[in-house]
Amino acid sequence: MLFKVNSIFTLAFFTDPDVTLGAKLLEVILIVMGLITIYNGIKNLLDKSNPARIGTAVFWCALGIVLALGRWLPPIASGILVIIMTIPAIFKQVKMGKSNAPTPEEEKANFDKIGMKIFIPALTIGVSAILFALLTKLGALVGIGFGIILSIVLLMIYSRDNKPKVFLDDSARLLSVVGPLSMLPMLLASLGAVFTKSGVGEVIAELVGKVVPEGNVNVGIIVFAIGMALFTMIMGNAFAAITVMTVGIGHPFVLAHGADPVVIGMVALTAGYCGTLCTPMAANFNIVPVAMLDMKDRFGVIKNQYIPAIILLIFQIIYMIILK
Amino acid sequence: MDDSKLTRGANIVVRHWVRLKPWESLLIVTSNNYMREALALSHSAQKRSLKVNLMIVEDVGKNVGIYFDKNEDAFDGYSAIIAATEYSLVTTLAAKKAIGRGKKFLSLPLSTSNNMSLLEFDFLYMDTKKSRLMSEIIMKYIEHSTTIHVETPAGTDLTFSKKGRKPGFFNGVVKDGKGFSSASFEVYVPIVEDATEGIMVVDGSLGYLGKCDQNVRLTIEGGRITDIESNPCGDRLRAFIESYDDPGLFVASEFGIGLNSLAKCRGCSYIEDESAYGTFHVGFGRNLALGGELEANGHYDLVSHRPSIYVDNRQIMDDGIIIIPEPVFH
Amino acid sequence: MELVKLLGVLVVVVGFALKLDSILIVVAAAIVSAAVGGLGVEGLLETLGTSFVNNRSMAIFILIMLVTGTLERNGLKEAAANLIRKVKRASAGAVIGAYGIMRGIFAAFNVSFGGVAGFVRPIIMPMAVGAIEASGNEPHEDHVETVKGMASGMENIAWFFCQVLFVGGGGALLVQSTLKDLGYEVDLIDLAVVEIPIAIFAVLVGITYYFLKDKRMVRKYYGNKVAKED
Repeated sequence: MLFKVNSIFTLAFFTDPDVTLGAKLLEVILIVMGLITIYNGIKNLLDKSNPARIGTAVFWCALGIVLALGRWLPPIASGILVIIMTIPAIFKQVKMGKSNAPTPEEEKANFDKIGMKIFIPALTIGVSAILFALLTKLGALVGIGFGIILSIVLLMIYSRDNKPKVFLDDSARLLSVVGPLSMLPMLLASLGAVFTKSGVGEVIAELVGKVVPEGNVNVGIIVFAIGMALFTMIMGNAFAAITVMTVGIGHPFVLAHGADPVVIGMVALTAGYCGTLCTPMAANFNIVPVAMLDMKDRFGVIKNQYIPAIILLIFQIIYMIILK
Repeated sequence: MDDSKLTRGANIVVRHWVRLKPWESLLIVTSNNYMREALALSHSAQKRSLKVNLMIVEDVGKNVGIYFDKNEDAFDGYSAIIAATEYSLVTTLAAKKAIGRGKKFLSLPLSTSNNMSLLEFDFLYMDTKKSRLMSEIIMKYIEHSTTIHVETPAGTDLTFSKKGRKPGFFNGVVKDGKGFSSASFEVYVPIVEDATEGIMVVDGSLGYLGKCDQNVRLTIEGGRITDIESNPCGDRLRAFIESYDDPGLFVASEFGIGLNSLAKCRGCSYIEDESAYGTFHVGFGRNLALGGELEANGHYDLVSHRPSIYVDNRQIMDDGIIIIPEPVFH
Repeated sequence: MELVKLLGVLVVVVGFALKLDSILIVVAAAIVSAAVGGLGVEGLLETLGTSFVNNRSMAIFILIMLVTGTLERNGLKEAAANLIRKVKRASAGAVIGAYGIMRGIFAAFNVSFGGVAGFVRPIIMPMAVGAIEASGNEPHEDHVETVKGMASGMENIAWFFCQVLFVGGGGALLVQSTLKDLGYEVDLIDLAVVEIPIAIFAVLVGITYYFLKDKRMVRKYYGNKVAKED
């Protein structure tokens, strides 16, 4: 019964003349994404080589349902699904089955067959995103969707081996490798919303306001950018820092005084990356290469990065001040 | 003999690994043939603490551990112990008890086969913090996994179970090992004793027997070695295992990953061999002190090169090199 | 006391600093924040649900994976290796610089070849060391160590600052959503455009810095020996 009601809503959304074509297409993309995710969940449920089949399936299926049907679910149901999907993730019960990763020999053989034109389908997606953003009203994300279709078609033309199941299984493999952590940006964004709702921003603003003179946008920018870099160094992750810092400092001290949100909001993130370059907390970027290249100095990567990082941070602060 | 190098090695062990404090009492367990090292350690330790004693055990050789199994209280009265004997004492009951009581325990097996003292080996100079960082990358994935799978170019294809077992880490530093450590730099897992299945092709080192000229192919079924390839090296290995006169020595009981980039698997010291970054090893025999359940007459390790390691199907090592197990965001 | 409202932020900062499970941190911070902010269980679930649904497009990478895995299978990394090998190997610094440009350009289109493990180690490092040897010098250990660090640095700088040029990348989507909660509507393409000068500058800084550093090392370790022309 519930399902029937939903399907009516589905149709209503897609036939509604007030909804833009871009929004409708994006919804289609989201449904496809949800189906891919659910496919991965069911594939894992049936995969005897996966040591945590149930947890894995719960995670991917709950995520897939929110992705595909989010528009039609009541918010509280989506919220419950979000919590449900985090449970197996927290208890490390989201795992993967035996991987079907391509062997170097297979890659080599395919390269000998296809050659350098493999770059065309690789670049198609990004180019299509730009073209759609600039030339149509459909938006970049729909452009990505179109680019992917084009890319798939090209790959199928290049090689008969590229059957639909190859694409589906390769994407399931990558999805399993990135695992639940790939949801972190979405969860952080949701956390940002919770912060905003519970009034965290005002409190930080009040605190920072005691130190930083409100109204001086340039000082605000400097504090915002350096704060981003420092917070990122402590947390090892600029994505985690950006929500807190934008709500607490970017908004009240810079944006609220009329600065351009495009410049300030975005460049603050890359200012945070300067912090990433300087911290052992970002182990994947600064410590794992030490192990991978067998470097003698455990800070061998960071020592080669901090000078460019400082130059870039100063450059970005000046850039924000000029363009604000 | 280069005594200054020996002294430097002893200083690393006392200052950087045990981190002996002035108020701590130290016992150095050794045997007659390692007096030179024991005195160097003792000399270095006396600069830090007034209470340093030597204990010389008569019974040398690979069975030395039995004494410390029978005399569980051997280490009472000391707050730090350096076991500087021929072979490891870390898997003995006395060691287990000492560790359980919060004493510092360092296993420093001095067996070498190139007329050099272990304290003169270069691998002692490994940056212990670097190996700890390396271990942290892979440790959390091992911790939450139930099966470990290893493949090597030489033909190893092994599956271990670590259900209910906790991995540990050695880098010499007693503090990093939560009270006890070994001169070997490794992440180790006391694997489930009856669950290992597959083929191990030993192409690195035969542990105490040193380097092998030929690869030795072992078949492991139900956790036990059921076949050893017959060639000169394989035959030596079989004779060695049988000399313990204990079927427990055929049981695979430990899985380890070497994390010392200065160590080379060259067959001069089994501790150096199993510590070499780019190798993995399987320990056989007793694994009690590592957290396992097998009591046996001894313990030895076999080392192989260039493992690709998967924990619960997630790859953490590729061709002997730690990789990013899971992509994250910057 | 109003300060109690910051408890959620504290959970995030301390949690990440202690390297706890990231998802656990976020969930805990959301629950704590909702509790001290008076949202209640229902309010928390509704906010979480609404926001997550609004941010679904951040999962666009799932769709992109439909081709990334198969591109890899079809030899993308081989092709990239082939491309970079065409570069003239004047010095280790030049090899690293060339890699920076290539990595940056492809990063802007969200195309990756395997990072340090998959590309720098098997392809860039041998090229860089080969460049030192080609100049008639025996590579000095410390020089090679620095080259390793510089190659990893170039990899990180090019990837971080150029990947934000990809329209639809995770970073920009997160910024867009954070700003939206605060009442600012921004377009993804504008967020990418604003980063173009920064990306170019970042790659240039990386190239110049590593090139000069390499030159200094060559002088230091191989002295005034005249490099032989190839």
